[in-house]
Amino acid sequence: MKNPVNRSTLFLTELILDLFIFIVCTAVCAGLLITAYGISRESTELTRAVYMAQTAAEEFRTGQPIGVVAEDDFVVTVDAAAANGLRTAEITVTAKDGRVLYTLTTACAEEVAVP
Amino acid sequence: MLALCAVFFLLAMGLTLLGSSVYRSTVSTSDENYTHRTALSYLVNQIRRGDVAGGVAVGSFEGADAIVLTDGSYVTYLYCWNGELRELYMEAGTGLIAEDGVPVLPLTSLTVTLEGGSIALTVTGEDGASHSVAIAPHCGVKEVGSL
Repeated sequence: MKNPVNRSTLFLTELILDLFIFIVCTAVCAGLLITAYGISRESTELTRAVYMAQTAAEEFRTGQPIGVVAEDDFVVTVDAAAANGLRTAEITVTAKDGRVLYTLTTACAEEVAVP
Repeated sequence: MLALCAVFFLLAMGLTLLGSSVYRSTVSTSDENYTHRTALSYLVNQIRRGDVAGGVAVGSFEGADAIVLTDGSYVTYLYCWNGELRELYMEAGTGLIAEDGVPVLPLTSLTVTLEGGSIALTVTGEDGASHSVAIAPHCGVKEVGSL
């Protein structure tokens, strides 16, 4: 003899399945939101890093001695070299945790007269 | 069954709250970043455009730090006034006031200082955060005092 299928059981099963699908969708959405937040922070960090590198490049061009500068949560490192009448520098901005945020290479003539 | 409905409701509310919070934070950060980046880029590029002998000066315009770019008989003042970055382009000696400048974008304050041949620009947005950049004009920069 067949047992009749309980309507409540069917409904409950469907509800559990719906809840499971909803949990999966929630997890995906939460992951996207967290990624968006992270990208937003990275964008702000990159903007600041670019301007710090630009500042270091300008100071290098005016002949000011710069090596490693720590500012806020960033560290600006300048590797300067001179050869064949040309001064070159590689400027790297890193976060305090060691991530390289931005790298800028610049060069100028050794005899740069700044009025 | 009630427990399942309650779990569903809690998850939905949690996701909505998380989403709205993250969205608000992301938009706010994006706006702040835009203000700082645009203001500094605008000022730096204006200085580079006016980088000729005697063309770039630093001074004070009605009490506000200003960058003065001279092009022949015309002068451009870049300054912050009444919560806005403004540009005033006029013939030298016209006598226009700070209020006559064209608003460029909202900005809380602009600090301009001269440091050994470099112009240090510091902008502060409505969020209170400050960003700085230095630029050394090829043709030099002079200090003109109060205008």
